Amino acid sequence: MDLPPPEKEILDNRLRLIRAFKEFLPESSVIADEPRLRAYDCDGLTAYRQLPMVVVLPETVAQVSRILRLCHEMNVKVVPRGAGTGLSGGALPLPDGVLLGMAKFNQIVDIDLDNRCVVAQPGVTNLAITEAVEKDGFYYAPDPSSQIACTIGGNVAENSGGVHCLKYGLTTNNILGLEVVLMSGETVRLGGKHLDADGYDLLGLMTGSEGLLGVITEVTVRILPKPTLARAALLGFPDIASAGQCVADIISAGIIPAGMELMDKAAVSATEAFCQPGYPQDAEAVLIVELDGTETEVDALIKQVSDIARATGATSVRTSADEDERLLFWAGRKNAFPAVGRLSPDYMCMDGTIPRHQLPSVLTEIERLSQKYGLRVVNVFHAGDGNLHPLILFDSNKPDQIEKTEAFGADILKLCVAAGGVLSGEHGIGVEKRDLMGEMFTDIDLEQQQRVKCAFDPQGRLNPGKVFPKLHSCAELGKMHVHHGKMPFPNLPRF
Amino acid sequence: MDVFKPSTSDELHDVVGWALAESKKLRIQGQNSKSGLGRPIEADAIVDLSGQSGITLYEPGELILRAKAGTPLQEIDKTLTDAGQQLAFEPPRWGALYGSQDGGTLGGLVATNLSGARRVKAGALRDHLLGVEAVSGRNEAFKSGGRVMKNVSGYDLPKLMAGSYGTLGILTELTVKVMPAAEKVRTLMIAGASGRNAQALMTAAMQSPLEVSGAAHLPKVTVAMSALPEISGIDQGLTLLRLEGYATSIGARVKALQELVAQHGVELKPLSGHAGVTVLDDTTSLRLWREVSDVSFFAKSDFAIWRVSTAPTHLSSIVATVGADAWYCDWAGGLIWLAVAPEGAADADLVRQAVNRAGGHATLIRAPEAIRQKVSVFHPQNAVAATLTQNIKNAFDPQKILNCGRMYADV
Repeated sequence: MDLPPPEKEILDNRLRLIRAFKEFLPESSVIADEPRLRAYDCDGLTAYRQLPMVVVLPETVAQVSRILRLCHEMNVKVVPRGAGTGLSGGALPLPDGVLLGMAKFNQIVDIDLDNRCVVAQPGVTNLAITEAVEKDGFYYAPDPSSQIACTIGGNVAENSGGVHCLKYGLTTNNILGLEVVLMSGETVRLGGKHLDADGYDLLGLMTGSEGLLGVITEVTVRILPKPTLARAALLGFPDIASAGQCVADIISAGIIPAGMELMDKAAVSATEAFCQPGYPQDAEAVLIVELDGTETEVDALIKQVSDIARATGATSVRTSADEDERLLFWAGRKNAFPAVGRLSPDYMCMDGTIPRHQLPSVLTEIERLSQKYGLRVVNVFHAGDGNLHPLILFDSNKPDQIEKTEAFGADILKLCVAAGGVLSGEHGIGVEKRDLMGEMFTDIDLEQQQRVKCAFDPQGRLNPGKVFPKLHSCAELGKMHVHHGKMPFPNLPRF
Repeated sequence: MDVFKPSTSDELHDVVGWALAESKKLRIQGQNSKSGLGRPIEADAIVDLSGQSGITLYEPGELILRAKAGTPLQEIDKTLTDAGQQLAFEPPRWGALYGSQDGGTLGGLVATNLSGARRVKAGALRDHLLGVEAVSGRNEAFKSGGRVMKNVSGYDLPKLMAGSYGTLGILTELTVKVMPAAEKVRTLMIAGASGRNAQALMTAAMQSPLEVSGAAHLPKVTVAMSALPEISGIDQGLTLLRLEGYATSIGARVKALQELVAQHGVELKPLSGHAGVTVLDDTTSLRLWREVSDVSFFAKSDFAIWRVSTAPTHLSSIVATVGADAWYCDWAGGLIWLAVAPEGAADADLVRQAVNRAGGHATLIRAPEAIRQKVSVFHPQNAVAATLTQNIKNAFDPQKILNCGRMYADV
């Protein structure tokens, strides 16, 4: 994985840039000494590290705007960062780039229950939004596993998901408005408290754009009334295929559960050792199905789901009797990553999405690859929406293991794409999957995407080196060859 | 005017290639069911996509459907209904507003990003669009998104294409998320709650955990315009709250919603005279909500029609400021339909000022061409947004050959 080569002209200007920052930023908002820069040398993808040239931590939108304008004028690269929990290296610093940390934007601006929305600064954590409204019976639906730490700004940048996406959608389906500062320093508001922004859907475009189009300075999210009741079924299956069949049959019965999570045997035994959630140890696959809604509805559905599970060969069926038991069922799944962390010095979490019916064949192939590479793999799967998280176990202290893990991971993602799926379901492309984009897209597809980048950032200064495998100048991308004087197409039907 | 009806992708590329080489402007259409929507545009030729039709993939168990852009919505509806599924965003049929009998195509629906009453619960069309294939104004076929629900692989161009009115690309194939259709539909119809009381009822319903899938209010003048005799005869404003779901639990939810309504001072007596509460069955519910989503109340009149999206609590101030001849709201007050005289500037300044104060946007959905020529049909953009819009147009269609001007001048 290569980052764009450092530009000498930028590095030569480092001190001048830092002085300019200090003219309008408080002392504590500019970090330029190596020990403190070290804290920012990676995000959640810790395999890749790079010291930034300088870190700035603005406190106001005006400061963000001024930072970007200055960098734009001095032709300096900027890498935005939220809490740094991202798993694809989207906030990996550049040696000749300013790291723009949004951590100080940590205030909730407005809670508007009548219009069912919350306005928050981007550095507010995902969970803090729910905490701010839960006493009033509301919550914010997307719930990535890192929700204690990850910020809403980062969630927007990566279009984060969670375990409730099938019913409640991803970040993009749950935000109403954004305030964004462009690389030019100009500020633009997209959407607001109303539904459906006007004009081109820049709100939708910005969501999941991985910090390449603008810096988010405010987010308006939709909040939902908390369901009266949630219950979960814990289902054990003798093989992955019958668990997959159970998921398909639930959906075919017209049921859209709030969550459906599948774990393979390796994940089940790892979590049992870690937090004893009481998962059936003889099962090859464990499925958690959560239903939420009104009491009558949930009770009826959980019975129906249990019947479907038995019909598809479940060897154990338990349903939560109370809230404590429901949370216990989830405790294993929610702790799957730390549990796997105990099995091995390092692990790498992959994030492909596949059409759900491909699960058995994809898992069989992953198992074959696991043997080929000599690396163990543990699978957790958002079964409702086809989002697969294979965790590859490795030891970075052993020679070649990082390279082998990367190659194994790349093979898994190629497999997902070949099965009709995509490279990333909720973690983003970042640097991690950047060089695999060609597996999913043609050059024309990728060039069209990069022209969209040019519409926002024609000098390519905002987070370069992420998402796209090849960097093109906007002038090059804008060229078009038109063959004039050609007569049209006698075969074309005209009416 | 030349009408090209390409039936293969090669033929489509030929048309776009010709337009590029000869500097011709193209107007893109499916069934042309929404001809009066948007700014009037000058074009040298029409690209008729109705020849590129057909469902190419439907997997009910995976909740996805893929179809060519020219596929009639009617065909998609039938296929989904037969399998007990639906497009959850409740696509409106606006053909009647523009004097068309046709129900439109999937491509036309995506290009306009139209969603009906269920949008408050289920999301908009753009939330259900998983993948697009299109031909840009550079005559290049490109794709974005995919066939899976969760996808962060590159920019979300499906969102950008939804609601771009054909100004960025000619849609060729689309993949959408589909959902199970509800077994039962019930509507709580509350007569006689007006003004703030109606707003409070809708807000309380949406704040409840009862999963209300529609919340609308029709003042008396609009109720009289319903084509349903059992509705139009009611000499009162009506507040409508819809529940959809499983047969086993809908009764309990209706009861809970009635209790909630009673807590707001509405007497739960059956409809008679000036007030009362009625529970509408499946059939009447379906027809009435169809009217709400399709703006049927105003279809036969010659009113100019504004569509305002705003935060729901601004409903009464906007309605009061504009003083329209008729109006109603959907989306719990967040979507306001205003019918005004089709004269002058159709009250554009009044509407836009009211909306600008509240936040949101107003679109002139229907008006005579002369009015749409002089009034901004879509909400005017500020300078930064307008520049971004122009840049994005340039990124997809640098010679401005595709539906140029349909949304904004020179875009």
